[in-house]
Amino acid sequence: MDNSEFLQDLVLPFAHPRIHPVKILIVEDEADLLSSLVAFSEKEKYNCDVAKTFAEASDRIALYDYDCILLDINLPDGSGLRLLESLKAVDKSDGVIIISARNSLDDKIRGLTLGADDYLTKPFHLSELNARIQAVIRRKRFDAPYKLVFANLEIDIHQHTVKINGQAVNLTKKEFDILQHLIANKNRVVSKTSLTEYIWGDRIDSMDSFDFLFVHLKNLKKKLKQAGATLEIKNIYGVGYKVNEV
Amino acid sequence: MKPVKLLTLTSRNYLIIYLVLTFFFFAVLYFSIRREVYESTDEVLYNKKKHITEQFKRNGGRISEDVFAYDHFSIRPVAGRVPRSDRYSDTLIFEPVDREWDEYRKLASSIEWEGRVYRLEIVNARLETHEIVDSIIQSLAVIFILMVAVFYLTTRYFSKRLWQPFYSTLRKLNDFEVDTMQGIDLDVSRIEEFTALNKSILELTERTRNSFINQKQFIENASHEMQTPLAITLSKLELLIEDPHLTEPQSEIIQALINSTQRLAKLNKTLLLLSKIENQQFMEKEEVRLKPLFEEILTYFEEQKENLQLSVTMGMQQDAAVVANPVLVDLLFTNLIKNAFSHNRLHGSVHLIVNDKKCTISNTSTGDAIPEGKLFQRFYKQSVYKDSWGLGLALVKKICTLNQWTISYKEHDGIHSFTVQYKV
Repeated sequence: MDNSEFLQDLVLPFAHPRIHPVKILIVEDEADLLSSLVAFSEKEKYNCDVAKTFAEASDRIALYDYDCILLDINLPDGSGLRLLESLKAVDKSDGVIIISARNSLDDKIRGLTLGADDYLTKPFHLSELNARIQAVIRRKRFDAPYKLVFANLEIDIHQHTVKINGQAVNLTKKEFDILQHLIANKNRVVSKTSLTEYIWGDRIDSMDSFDFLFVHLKNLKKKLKQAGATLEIKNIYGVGYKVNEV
Repeated sequence: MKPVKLLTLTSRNYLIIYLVLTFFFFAVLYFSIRREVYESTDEVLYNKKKHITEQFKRNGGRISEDVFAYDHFSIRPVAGRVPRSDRYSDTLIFEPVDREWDEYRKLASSIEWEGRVYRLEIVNARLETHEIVDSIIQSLAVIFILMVAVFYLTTRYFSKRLWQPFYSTLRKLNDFEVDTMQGIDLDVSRIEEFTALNKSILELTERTRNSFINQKQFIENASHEMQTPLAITLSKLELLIEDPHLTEPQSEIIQALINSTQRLAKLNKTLLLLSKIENQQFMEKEEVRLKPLFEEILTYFEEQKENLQLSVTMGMQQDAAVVANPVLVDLLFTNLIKNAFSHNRLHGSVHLIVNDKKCTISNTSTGDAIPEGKLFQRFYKQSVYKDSWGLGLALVKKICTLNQWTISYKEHDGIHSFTVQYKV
């Protein structure tokens, strides 16, 4: 299987550290959550630094440039919002995702005004975090319409279109969202729960949504197979899904 | 027991006291007047006796003509007896003119003259008992009626004015809601009791409000504190499912754990949302057009529609809009529509009517009508819907209250309808 031409098209730097490793900084004082985030970053092949305190984070930010900073704003020795201010003061363009236990609108507005790119409330799904990181990096690095490429699929995130071997495949909005989310998280198993939340949010109850997800996945698989996709959506014992190239 | 108005009760008591007092006064008056009447009559009789006796003795055992001016007396000699002292008594004398017995006062006395004893009896008409009683009763009755009337009118007037601070406090207490930002604001009264009452009420409401605020803050803080452990649990579980050596039974356990964690996270999120609404953290308002909003919300329920083969009908006014916080409007209608879909039955229906005054969402359901009182209560759920927290309608209610909209529910022929009235 020769994917070299796809690899050349692949302008997504973080997915291929050989081309340009993505550097992220995780600022989080909870050791257990930090270790999860580090494990997650390794899986995604991000180059990651950690800071457990405001002081550590300040040092790191002053010394290095990061593609994305995951910033917990409730730090033991200061507010993460002040880190944002100092970033802005030195005119750094690091992408910042605020991770907060306080889902407070004020913090969110202040954070976003201070130049944060996104705001994620705990608890969050790792696949959701991953999608947000990718979006931030995409915004930071490229202005051009972005295409996601996996196996013989080409996904245009802005146009919401999927091409297989250059042929457009007609997907419903939800099918497209599922496919996009799975491919954005191609290095990991996306849990059923996080996938349903990505599609429906809190709107429907999870028991119902699992059945609906199953129906959408069934249709999606059928359409992909008919179009000759070299991609397989694998069900991991009913707990989650992962895309593989076949 | 049916509660009685304080005014009625006091009036009743006063009336009883007045009645008893009136009887008492009657008795006192009766006896004192009677005594007065007797005394004056007896005095008249005594004077007559003296006069007659004098005449009798002076005229040599005879009564002169002019003595007849003293009517009603008799003198007759009695056998030699010991002279008796004067004796007053009541007697009845038949009056042939009006053919009735009249009441008289009689003085029985004796005259000793030249060794002989004469018996003298003098009578004098006196005021009759029933006349006394009548006049007393009449005057007392007038006094009594006047007193009651004056009492009624004055108490009416005064109690209204006197109790005004009390009723004002009562009204404010009725309107008092523990979750408001401001405490209760009571009028100043110059009456000591009401000032004391208001002071106690102020302290009590303030304590209640404080404990409510503390409780709210506790929920909020607890919810916030739970976010990080939940994030840790969820992230660890999601890392765990990456493990290539995972077995199927282990996967099932992890799935159950992820589900429970997710449910907890949702509950937490909703509780936080409720307290944020209570804290009025959603103040920014803008015009929200309802048609596009409803259409967007409905896309999330397409699967449920297909699954239950529901017929969804809409009557939408094109330009219907509300001015409110967009996040809350979305939440409100999402929850109502979610309610309509998730409690529906096979081949059921959902019907939406939206205009610029109100919105009605009707649906068929598997359940019976929801009991009125429990409808918007937190954590109330009908057992069938195992996967919900019963917080959705509490949230709906909260949002309506915040915007001063009314929400009503009715059930008719198995059709459950919720109506949100956002404009009168």
